[in-house]
Amino acid sequence: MNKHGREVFLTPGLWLFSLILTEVRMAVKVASPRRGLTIYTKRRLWGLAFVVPTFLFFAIFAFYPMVNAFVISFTDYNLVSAPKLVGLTNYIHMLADARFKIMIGNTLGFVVGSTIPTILISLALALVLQRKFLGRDLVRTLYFLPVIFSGVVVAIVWRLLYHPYGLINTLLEPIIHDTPRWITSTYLAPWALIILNVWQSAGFYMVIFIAGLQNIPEDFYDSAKVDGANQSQSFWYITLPLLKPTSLLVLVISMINFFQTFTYQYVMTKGGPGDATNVISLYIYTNAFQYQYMGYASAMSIVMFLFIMVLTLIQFRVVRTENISYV
Amino acid sequence: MDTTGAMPTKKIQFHSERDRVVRIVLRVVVLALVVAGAVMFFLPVAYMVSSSFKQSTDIFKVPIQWLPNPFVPQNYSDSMSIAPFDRYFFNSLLVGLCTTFLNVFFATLTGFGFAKYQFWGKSFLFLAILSTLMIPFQAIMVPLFVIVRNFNWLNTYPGLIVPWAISAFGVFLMRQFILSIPDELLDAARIDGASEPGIFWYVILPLSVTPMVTLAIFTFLDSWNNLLWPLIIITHTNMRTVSLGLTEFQTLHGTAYNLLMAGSTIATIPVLILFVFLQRYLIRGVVLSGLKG
Repeated sequence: MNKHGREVFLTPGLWLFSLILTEVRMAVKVASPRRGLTIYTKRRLWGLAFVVPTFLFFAIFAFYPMVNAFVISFTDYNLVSAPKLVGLTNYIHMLADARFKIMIGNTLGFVVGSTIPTILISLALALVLQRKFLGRDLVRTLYFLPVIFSGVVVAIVWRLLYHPYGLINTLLEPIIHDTPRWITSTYLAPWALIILNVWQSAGFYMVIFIAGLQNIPEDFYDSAKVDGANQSQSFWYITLPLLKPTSLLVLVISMINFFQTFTYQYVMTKGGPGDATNVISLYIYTNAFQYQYMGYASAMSIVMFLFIMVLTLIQFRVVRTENISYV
Repeated sequence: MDTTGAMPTKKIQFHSERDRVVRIVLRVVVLALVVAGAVMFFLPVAYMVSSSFKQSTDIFKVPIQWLPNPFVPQNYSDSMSIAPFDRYFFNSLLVGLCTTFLNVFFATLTGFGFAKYQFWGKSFLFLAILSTLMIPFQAIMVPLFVIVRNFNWLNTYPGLIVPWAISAFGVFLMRQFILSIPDELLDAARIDGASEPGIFWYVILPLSVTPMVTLAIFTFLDSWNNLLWPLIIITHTNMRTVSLGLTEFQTLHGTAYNLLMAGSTIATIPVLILFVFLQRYLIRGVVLSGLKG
């Protein structure tokens, strides 16, 4: 695959054209005058035909917009009048924009604050729930259930839970007399979002960890037992090291997912109070579709793209080098 | 305990009885914690359903009424009379089903092409499609909006469906699976006179049902739960999806908690049905979702 890596830099349209041309030319060359195309050429063309519609789809709905986002980021564009080239103005503005720095800080805080407890909790759950016991499947299901909920529903339900007289404060009242105001407090609101995010995500990563645990051959534990290892020893010297690839994978995927957080903030806090829970996605959305600053929004989205691209490349690398497969 | 001179296998066993007791007690404590955690994880869901049947004055009543008294199922009809949740529901269902169908069809077809055919530029095409996984939606939402606007697809079903018709993850998933189908099966079909599309239809499709169902559930869930895209391209009330409709409902009636919970419960029912009947496939999909690469 690597030897084709350089081709990536060609424009898709030009490339596709030359590809079809080559295939047709080969077809004509190989075709014997009497019988038309040979079986093998026909087969190659069918293979191409199965793949090209999908490639065209991505050309229109992924590559073209991506290139376009880059172009728009150098313009002043409000959807109504024609875009005006302004060079690096948007990027310079971004560096000077104090709010953008707050958004980056908030987003990173959300990512780090969510990732650590999510990984610890999902790993702990996986370790306990991989063993068989009565009612295990029910317990697993209860932990997994929040995963299927839509972000909108989660945000709406948790807004009620965080209400000054909602379920959480009602349960806390006997312990803490002065119950907190969750989403209207600048200090607590980011934590409130992290808590509900962990609640919704833990089950997802638990499932990945369970798959990782099941991938460790039973023989390893058996031979460790024969060698006289106790349970905590086989945990530290077998389970944890062999779980490293899975943990890396979970770390990267969860960071990619959490980095793009939008729905909770949009529905529950609108980024408030102040900018306490505002994040990059929400700020891009607001700039683009409420202030109509398409150019500035695109410049920020390019920065976001770079973040995600690096994380995804790390993910690909982890999957390839650690040779993970659960199938 | 004196085990010296006993059978040789017993020599391995050198944990004391006390260790064993400690371990059992520890396990029970851990299990109890995990079960208690599971109950806590379920509380928000229970609270949503229970509050959706309460009258508005009972929402914040202490002690918490888990079984609403009076029981008010009218909340559901009330919320529907304020906002057309039935219409939202229909929109989401239509969009979700179309998106799912297109995704499964194209992912299987393309995955088949990549897995079982040789043609010039194959690895480039595959790499190019896979590379779209690196693009976060937020990075392309502005140009995508412009494209859809130029197609005159704002406030339409195609606008909601077409940009999501194919996912690189789906293509990758199906390709990985179809790679494991032996070539001999395809050759046998060819000898029997099947055309290449015929092979796709009569050999590949029936053998790929499991990953197809997995992909279908994932796509439907994503489509049903998507907020950002409908938020950008839909402005007409009648074209809103459930997620968007609920969000707007909250903006307008943020304190009508019992009605909001009724709406949230309605929005969750289809997903819950999928979950109950197809949990196995869903879990499989979660496991596979990290492996694109």
